[in-house]
Amino acid sequence: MSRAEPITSLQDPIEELEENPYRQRLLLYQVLVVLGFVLLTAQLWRLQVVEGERYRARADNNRFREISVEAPRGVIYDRNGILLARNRPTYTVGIVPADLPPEPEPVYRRLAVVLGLRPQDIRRTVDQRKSDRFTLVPIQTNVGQDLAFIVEERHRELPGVHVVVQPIREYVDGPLTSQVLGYVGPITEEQHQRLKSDPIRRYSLNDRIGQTGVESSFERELRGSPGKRQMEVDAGGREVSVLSVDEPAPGSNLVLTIDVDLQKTISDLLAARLDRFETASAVAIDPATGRVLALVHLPAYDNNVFSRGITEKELQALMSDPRRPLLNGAIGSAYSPGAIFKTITAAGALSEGIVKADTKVNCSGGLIVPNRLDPTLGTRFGDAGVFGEQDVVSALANSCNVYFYLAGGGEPDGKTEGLGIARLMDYARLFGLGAPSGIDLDGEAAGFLGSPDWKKEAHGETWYKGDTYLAAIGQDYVLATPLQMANALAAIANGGNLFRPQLVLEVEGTDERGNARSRPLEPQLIRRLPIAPELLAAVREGLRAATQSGRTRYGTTYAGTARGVDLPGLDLAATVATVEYARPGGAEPLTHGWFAGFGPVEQPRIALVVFVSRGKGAEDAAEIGKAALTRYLTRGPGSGAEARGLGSRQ
Amino acid sequence: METRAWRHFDVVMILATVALCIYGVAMVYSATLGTEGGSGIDSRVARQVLYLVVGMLLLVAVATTDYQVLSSVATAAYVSCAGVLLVVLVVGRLTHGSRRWIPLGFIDLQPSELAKLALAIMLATFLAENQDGVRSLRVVAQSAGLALVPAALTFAQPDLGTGLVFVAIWLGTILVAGLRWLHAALLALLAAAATPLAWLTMPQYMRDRVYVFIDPYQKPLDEGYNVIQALISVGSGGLTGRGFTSGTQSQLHFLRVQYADFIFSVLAEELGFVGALALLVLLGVLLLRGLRAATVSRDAFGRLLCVGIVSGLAFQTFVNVGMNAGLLPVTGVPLPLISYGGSSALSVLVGIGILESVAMRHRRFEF
Repeated sequence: MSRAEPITSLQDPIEELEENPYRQRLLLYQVLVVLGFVLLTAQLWRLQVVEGERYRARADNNRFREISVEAPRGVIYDRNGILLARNRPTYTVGIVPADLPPEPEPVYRRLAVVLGLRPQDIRRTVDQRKSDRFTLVPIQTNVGQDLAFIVEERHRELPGVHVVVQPIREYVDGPLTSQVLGYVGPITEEQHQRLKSDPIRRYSLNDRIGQTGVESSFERELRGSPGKRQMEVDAGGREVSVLSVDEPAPGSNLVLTIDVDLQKTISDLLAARLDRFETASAVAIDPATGRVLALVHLPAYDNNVFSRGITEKELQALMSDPRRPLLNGAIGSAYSPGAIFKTITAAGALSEGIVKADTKVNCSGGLIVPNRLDPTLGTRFGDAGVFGEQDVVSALANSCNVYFYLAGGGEPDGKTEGLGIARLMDYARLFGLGAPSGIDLDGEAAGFLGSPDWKKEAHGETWYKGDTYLAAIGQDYVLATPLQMANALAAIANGGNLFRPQLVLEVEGTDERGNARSRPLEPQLIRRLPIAPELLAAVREGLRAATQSGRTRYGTTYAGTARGVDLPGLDLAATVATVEYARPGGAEPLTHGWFAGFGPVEQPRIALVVFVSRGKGAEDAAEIGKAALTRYLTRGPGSGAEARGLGSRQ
Repeated sequence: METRAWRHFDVVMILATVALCIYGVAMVYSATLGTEGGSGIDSRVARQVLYLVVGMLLLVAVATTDYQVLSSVATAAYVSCAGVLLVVLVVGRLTHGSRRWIPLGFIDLQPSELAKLALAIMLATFLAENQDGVRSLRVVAQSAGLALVPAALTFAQPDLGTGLVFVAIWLGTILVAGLRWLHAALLALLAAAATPLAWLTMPQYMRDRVYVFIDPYQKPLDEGYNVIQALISVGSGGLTGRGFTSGTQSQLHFLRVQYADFIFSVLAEELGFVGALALLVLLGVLLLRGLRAATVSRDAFGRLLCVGIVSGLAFQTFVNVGMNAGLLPVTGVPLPLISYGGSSALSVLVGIGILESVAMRHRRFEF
């Protein structure tokens, strides 16, 4: 209950005070508030007016700077510990805009003289930067040590100019591994938008990021976590003292499945004959696991040019080169597989019971499919020769077409359908054709598998039996990349397991406490082929026979198309294919050449596919394939690392 | 509605309030230039304007209402605020190791801001009813208990600075209510004795702030930078400042969260001693007019209500400016109406509305 209070204005103030102690206290309160403000004002006067000059000088001259410290990017090894990609420290001359004097032109001029550039180019680089005023704008990277020292010595005349040590990415073997490794390049706006919220990797607009290849697909692992360096700097932006350092966390290293010795062997073999064809690719897979031992495509490019900063001219040259070195043909270009595809036709026909292992077909040199409107006319489907009675093993060894016409498409008169185009393509899909394999690289092509529906839609024509014939021998309506063919071959070699081709063996990182911790990546099975093991064994036998001549157990004879490949003591299975490529103007058709082989036949360690485009056919591919397989299988244990003799990770 | 009450509407107070709001928006604008959003007005500026406009509307609404109704809702308000303070400890968004805000979609609610008003109302109600008892320790202890609840819940977030505001509200109110000087002395002794215990139970970062206050260069801690940076910012403003939006320190973003606790440094750097003094004058006017409202209030409830509200504002003002000027260790209390913050702006403006309500009704008899 509140006390009754008199009307204030009629009362004597002193009397009020005595009667109402709260007034006394309120007055005291007001006095205290005023005193408080006086105190604050006095302090502000001291700071701002009395010592204002001093603080202003400190604001100008002594500034705190926090800069990002780049984390070392993970290095990349091959499976034997040989270094493939590393970080080489280099000098970069750059400008921090906040440290430039109000009139920067003289600095640009002096710097231009030292670096051999034009002042207006320097000015443009600084003005067009995408970063804030405190981030270094690189003016010239990979500067020689002498030049770096000169800039350092003249720092008084070059306020705002800094020399920093920046690692650049060095690819030890350049073009040899560029298709697999890819390269790092400046981050784009769009990439930065997508990644800027990552709290560990903390991308800035100035960063470099893996753009293609393993550098790109494993960017998350390779990139570490940047650190922070808090320092005091003077008016020229030079470090006066370090206040604290937050160490960066290095990225994880990668161990690839690639065997760089094999990679070099194959690459050298291809390069020696490169003048004979347009492009050449090769893929080698370990059939037991799906791990990729080698991935080669020529012509290749030197990915080091991207590290040191590719010029417009160089980039244009690369991109307008008609042989397209930036495209990884081993995974990105699809071609007709030719006779190699017959392995799939055989597997399908056996699995569906169209033929059995002992079924014999008369390979008479060709088939004629009668024209439906005029039976006297017909289309001839040819063969490489007259082989007589053939079973699946000899047909594969001889690469007889007629067997596969019949197995794939049935009799020309339509009385039997054979495997049929639909089932043929289904088996092709089971073997991984028609879709990307899922290898850890960008730019993989899916290939192509034709069908009656497709033909109707794309060309408005109906599907003929002859089309099935051509598809069955891999001559038409099928397009596959060398990788897809190698993967399918591996599945045949290992008895029916289709793996996802694997490029990275291990990710080597450190845990929170800095202890080394490596994470091996396990093989991933895409599917187990629904084909009985003994049927696939027959296909393997066919490929084994292709490297020799002789008689099958059912009495048919063969002289294998890959006869030259076999060597005493080396159990190889192989086949070759030549696909014709018509040229306009009636010039002699060029051919693509394929080689597919694996060995040793019992417990295969390698499945290899070699493809050469627009050359003279399968001969070159076969020679290269044989040499590569021989070299790999006769190599002693551990000689992979020794043969290179340098760059071991230990 | 008694239209005649509007005759006693404190125009000086409202002018000072509006001036402070405008000042605050201008400084938030400057402080947020060049952050994340790049060019253009940061969304925080727009939000601050929104909060202030809503707050002003609430101010008018509250002023229109007779403040007496507050005493009837005092308990309900107090209990619900305590409840929300409890809730924020569980569901509050974790920032820098502390849970202070409850995210409510578009806005964040900071319950401690509302609790300040609730406590002022509760204490005023309690002490107005027990005016005679204020001379007894029992009543004093009971009132302290009322303040301790929101204070403890706030300390638990942890938020030391804001927790102390509750203590300040209690101190101001109890002193004006008539705390015996003897008891005041006892209280001071008790506080002194409790300091070592408080020191030992303080979380490390709070202790670091005290170390850093004594010698900012001793350790390269984040708080050390803020202290040094704040001093440099304030001092380098000189007499007339570096120019609006031209403060090098501020635009360099050295100060963490400079649109909140350290916004005074931005002001001092850019507008100099003159600008800082203008701010102090406006805040001083606000506080003194609030105390005037307490003086002319027609009943004890109104008087104590005003004192409670003014005490909270005064504590925040002195501590925030003091910290920016190097007189006090860093504590996270916002500068009323200037620091960016929705809950704070609304709570302060509602509080001023209450002050106006009391000032408008100070004559019991209208002639």
